[in-house]
Amino acid sequence: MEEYRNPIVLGFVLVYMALCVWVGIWALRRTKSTEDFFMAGRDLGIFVTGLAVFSSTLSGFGFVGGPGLVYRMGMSSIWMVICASIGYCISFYLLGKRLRLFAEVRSPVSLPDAVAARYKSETSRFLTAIAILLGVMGYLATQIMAMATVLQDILNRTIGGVSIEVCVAASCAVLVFYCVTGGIIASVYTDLVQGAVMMVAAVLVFFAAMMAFEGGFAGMSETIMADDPEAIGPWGTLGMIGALSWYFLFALGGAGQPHIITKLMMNKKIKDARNILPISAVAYAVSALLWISIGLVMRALVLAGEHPELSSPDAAAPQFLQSYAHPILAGVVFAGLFAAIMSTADGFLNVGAAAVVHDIPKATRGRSLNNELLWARITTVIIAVIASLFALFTGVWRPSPDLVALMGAFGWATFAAALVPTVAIGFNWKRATATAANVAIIASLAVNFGIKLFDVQVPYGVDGGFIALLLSLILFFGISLASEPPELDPDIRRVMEA
Amino acid sequence: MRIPLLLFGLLLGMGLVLGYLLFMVPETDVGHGFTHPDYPTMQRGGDGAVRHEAVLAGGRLLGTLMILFMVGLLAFGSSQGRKIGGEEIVMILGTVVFVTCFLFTVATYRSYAAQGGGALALSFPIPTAWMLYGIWGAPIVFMLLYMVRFEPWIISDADIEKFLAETAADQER
Repeated sequence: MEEYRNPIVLGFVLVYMALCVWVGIWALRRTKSTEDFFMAGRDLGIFVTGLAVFSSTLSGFGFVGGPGLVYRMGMSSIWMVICASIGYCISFYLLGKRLRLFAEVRSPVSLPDAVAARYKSETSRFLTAIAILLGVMGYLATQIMAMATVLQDILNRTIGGVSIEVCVAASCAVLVFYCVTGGIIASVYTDLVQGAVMMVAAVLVFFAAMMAFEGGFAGMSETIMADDPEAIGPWGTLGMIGALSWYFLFALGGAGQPHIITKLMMNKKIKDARNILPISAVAYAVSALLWISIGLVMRALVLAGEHPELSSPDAAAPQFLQSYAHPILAGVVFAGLFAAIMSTADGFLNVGAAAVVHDIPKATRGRSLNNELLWARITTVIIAVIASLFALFTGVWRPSPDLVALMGAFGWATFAAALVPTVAIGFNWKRATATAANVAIIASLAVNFGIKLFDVQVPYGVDGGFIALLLSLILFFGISLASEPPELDPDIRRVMEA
Repeated sequence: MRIPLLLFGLLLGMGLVLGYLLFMVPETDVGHGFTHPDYPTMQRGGDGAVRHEAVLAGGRLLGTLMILFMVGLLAFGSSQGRKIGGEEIVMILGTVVFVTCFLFTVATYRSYAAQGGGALALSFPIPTAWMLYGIWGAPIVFMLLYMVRFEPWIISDADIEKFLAETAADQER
């Protein structure tokens, strides 16, 4: 079977992509209105919503970039994983009930819609939409780059000589097809399949990794510790303060990811949230086994001289699968990798399109575009193309390209710092004002992009996104506490008091 | 009003600790890792005791404030002042467990770093095991609380019915 490894892997990936296209066509028939396109008609069951929330969280960032970071830095990036248990709790405690109640009274088709209703401010709507659009570009580029990296690895082993540009174009084309045709309905239903594939893949990889190194995880720990105790210590090579900055940013940040929290408005019943939380959290914990196990085993194998050094940390997952996993398992896991990437990327395309065709026009001219559904589809294509070019620029064409995970961390931080105060806190606190929300969004974007664009080196490896989040939270609380409580519409007050 | 003030205080505390660490405590040369001499795609942390000596206490305080802030957010989002049963006690106990796991991670790391390694527990060095199994697992208490006491603690059936009826009446008007 080993001689058929590459055709088997390619076969699994092609079948998976064909499945996505089929779901897109199926969902096209069910998408009749803008609300269907963006909010799935608010008719999703517990399992569909639960798996959609989790599979949108764990993306190419986690499946490709995560193992790469563990290989490179040891345990540091595990803080991005273990924060999920408290992170999901924060998202659901703050937003599980509240956003679904908002959906009842105002039927928002996007997050900025809900923000505009909460703060009675078109400026807040506009700034939220801009923050979403900026975050979408960065994060979507990460997903497309991760997908193209894996696709190139597979194709080069099968037919050879395929450029990364061709792989980016192919990844973009499949993604656009099923997202444009089916909108969020296609997205959430493929999330169901994708979520299941990701969980199975992660468990199988966990055991494959354990068996690939003599002594299992204890053996890996001893090998890594013999080379550098810090790498397998709790903070990894990054150190304590940097690791804690990731913990806080990623724990709170989930409540600011628009592609995740908009799904909390799509479930059928308000009480479904109680079951969606454990489904999402457990599914994430199972799937995160892949992040931890591949990174550790590849670092240990290289240190033990059993595997040549990787060309790049991002090659950890593809290299492990091609070298140490059974061909069928490799096929399933590669399909799982595509599942993780596409399930997140389609969510980004959806919220990005909503920002452009619905929110920005509403904020600037008082109404959204005519024939919104058609424009949503056209915009989806345009955003995907721009994000693909951005991916090539940051991940390939630049002299010192970013790692997939670090590109992803920046996208996550952009959303988190701008939206956690405005949405997660503001939707629970009647005293929060529009001015505080606007200042928090502007400050977060300025700090986040300032640190990135000017390449500011923060001591102790502290993530710039953490500083942006902390500052935006302090400004949001401080300004709101120093201001007069705002007037709220009666229905919004009712939502916030429920 | 009390919880937002408390959260604001915790944020200011975190800001002060972070500012102190960033601006008042100079970082060692390899404070957040350096390129592995034999494998350039990897990094090494170096001597943990040396690079963490000046920041361990500040990091312990920063981490504790972070956890208190995060649990404070759960309290903020949960009941809107509604007191049903023993939820507050469970929240407090969960917080104590959560903070304890973090403090044990730091405490066991101190000797791990001083010795340049140590024994394994559940396949990982002891401080790493505290981090993986303790800090990752501790919030399960809050998850169970949300599941089990959603009704009536988060929202009751009567509240939902009243809310939907008022919303329907609004929309008819």
